[in-house]
Amino acid sequence: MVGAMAEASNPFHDALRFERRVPPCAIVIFGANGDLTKRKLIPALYRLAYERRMPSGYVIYGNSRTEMPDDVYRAKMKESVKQFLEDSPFDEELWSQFAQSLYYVAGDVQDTAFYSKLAGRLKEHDQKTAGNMLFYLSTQPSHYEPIVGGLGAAGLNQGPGWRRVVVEKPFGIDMATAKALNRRLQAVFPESAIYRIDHYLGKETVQNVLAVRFANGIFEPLWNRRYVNNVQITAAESIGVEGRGAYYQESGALRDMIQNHLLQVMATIAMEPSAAFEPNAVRDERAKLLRSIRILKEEEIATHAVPGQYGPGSMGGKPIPGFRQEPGVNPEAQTDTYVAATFFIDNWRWAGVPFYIRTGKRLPKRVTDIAIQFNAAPLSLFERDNMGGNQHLARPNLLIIRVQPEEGISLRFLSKNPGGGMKLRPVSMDFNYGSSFGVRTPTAYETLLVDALAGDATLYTRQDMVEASWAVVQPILDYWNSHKFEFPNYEAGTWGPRQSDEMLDRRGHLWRVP
Amino acid sequence: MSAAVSPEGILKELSQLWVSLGKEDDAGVLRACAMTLIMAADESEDSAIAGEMLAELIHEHPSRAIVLRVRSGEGAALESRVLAQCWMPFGKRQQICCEQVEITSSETSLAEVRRVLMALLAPDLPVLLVCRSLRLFLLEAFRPLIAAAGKVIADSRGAADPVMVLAAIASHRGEGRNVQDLAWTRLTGIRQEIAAHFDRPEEAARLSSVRRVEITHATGPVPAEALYLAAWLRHAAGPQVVPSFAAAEGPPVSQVAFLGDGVEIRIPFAAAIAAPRDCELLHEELGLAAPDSIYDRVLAGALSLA
Repeated sequence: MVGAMAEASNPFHDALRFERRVPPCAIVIFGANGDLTKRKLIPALYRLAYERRMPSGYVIYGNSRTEMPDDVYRAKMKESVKQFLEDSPFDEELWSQFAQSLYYVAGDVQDTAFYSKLAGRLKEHDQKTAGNMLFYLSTQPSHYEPIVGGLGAAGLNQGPGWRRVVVEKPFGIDMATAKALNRRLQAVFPESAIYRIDHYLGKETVQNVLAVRFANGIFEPLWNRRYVNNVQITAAESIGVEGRGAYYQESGALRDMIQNHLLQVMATIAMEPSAAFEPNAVRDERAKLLRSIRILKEEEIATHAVPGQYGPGSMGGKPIPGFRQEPGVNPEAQTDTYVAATFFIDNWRWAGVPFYIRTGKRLPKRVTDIAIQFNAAPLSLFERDNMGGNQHLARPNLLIIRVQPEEGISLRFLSKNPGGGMKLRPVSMDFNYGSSFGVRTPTAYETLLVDALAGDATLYTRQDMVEASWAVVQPILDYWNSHKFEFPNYEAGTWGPRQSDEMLDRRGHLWRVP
Repeated sequence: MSAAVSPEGILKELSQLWVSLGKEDDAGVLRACAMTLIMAADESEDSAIAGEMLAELIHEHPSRAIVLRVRSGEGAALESRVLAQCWMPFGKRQQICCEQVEITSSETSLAEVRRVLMALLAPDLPVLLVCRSLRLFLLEAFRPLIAAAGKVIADSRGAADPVMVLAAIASHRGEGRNVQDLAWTRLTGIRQEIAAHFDRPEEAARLSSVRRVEITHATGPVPAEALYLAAWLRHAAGPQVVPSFAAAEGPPVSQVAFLGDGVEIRIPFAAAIAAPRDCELLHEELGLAAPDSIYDRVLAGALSLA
């Protein structure tokens, strides 16, 4: 086997200086005409080729039902790369080389005969790919089972060479379906070959949370209930459902964002340091943290989780339709386009510290950040109001990790205003990724694809992590499904429903404005 | 260009430079600095070379760059000027700029240069010294500048007596200074190819039969690259492997052959791997903060082979 094990036993390997080598392989993308393939996967693979990070021998196969010659598929993908390549120029010559390794194989994933055909096509490239294969499921979830079953029946789940399968979210629509999906995947592939992708974990700033926490001595001593007052995680989108109304009304923000992305981010913020920076050691700590999140009791849900749905409003002077007015959406849909939730972690480090998470569509701007709010100094020496109160208590120290759009870290603290008197003002000390590193940061899909090809599952979620996060979300889903809400309850272009502010207000907290 | 150089004067000029840059562009500019990067060269070297290298390096290693140009012989006066290197990241609307100070001095003024440099270092950030001149690197008067940097990058390529340069590097490292040789960095691609070859199980199995490695190097004395490679191969493959050298026209190292009972593995190196650009090598070194313990062993091995 060529890969991580070979590197470890190879006396010529130099971990300090050598780039991680990606072994030769075939990549098969199911759902080759889908949005994800066009917008993210093929542009990411092209960019990896641009940076010479693709293996020396590789082929990429796209699959969907439509009959199409290789050249037509290549032309379509070329247009996609030109359109969706992020922060990169398009290089015609490089594309010509890249396209030579790009193929298309038409076939119905429900048809078992298709997999024999696929196996035959892949076998033609064994010399080049050493028999290694990565199967990427970029289809609708209902196709996962027939694809995995078909791969197994055709013997494509076993070598020579390694075999891996990348699964896109949603990993089930509830706990029962998630468990069932895991069982079906594991019937064909071992857990170590299943890569459940959560693109939030591939974001550079989310990875940097681990570096900030565990490579520096100054933060970790403060990273606990003694010093942290609360944590706020915000993932706001200014756009609506963008033509995906029919899909979104079945999913909602809780399933779409919190069950996977934001609970994973929370786990990264709150997990204990792992014994080593190795896939299972890191994932063990994430899983442990997810299992420590307190499961809300039915009577707590109304006060700890707020659903919202946007109504008509305006943004930038333009009228915006409400969710129920979006095409394909039921005019009486009970879908949550916004969620704010309060979670607690029942462990010694975090007991009693609220973790506030909010996400929503049609909020005032697109921003994702994590704010660690520290306890105030016990007494203000400097500023007191005319009633003797401490003015600075309303302006706490904040450590803000900005995930998007401008990646960086800011620390807010109080400073003296220039001039006479001891008037204080909050100031911000900023680290900006752009100014310290200057270079383009890889997209999450570039990072995660290389990891999967190299056999590094650190940033992928594991079965126990998926099930632990469903355990957190399921009671909320069940409660919401059995109640009818007065939707819409927030106007497009605002920061969400009033009840969300009230949820924090009950603990004397305020949502910060990101 | 000012005749008298004072650190305060240079810092003031830098402040004024940033004010004027900020006014030039509606979007303002992003001032970036992650290290002090001192690039020392002979005055006779084309001044554009250092400028072009820095312009490329700042993309990934934004720095306060100090270009030190040293002329042979005497002369008390230092000269300086300040400028900014800016670039526009693809798809962005704000330029990223780094400041650059150029100081010209004579050999006899190096003590004064050190005083000025100490005041110009960006506070609390790493200091890296790239020494593009072997003459300067071996100069006694240059040692205090080497001692002032957290990492020093020299290049033994083209040395008339590579062993003397390697011995000087070993002496610095023996005194606890992190001095690296770009001749070693130049081998990373070659070493990676060799490692990749032995990733294949069937090739790895043949390694135990290898008794000799033959390194084909550029004509002339055995270059530092070939000595390093021989020492590394021995370090990795075991002391039973005896290195030998053969000369041919081409880059410092163009091929390595593993020979033994029934074994003959020849790995030729493409030009892009055998002769990487200096900027690529500097990029690799500037990105490495951890000590290179393999290099310590290889340096000792190369000196014992010489």
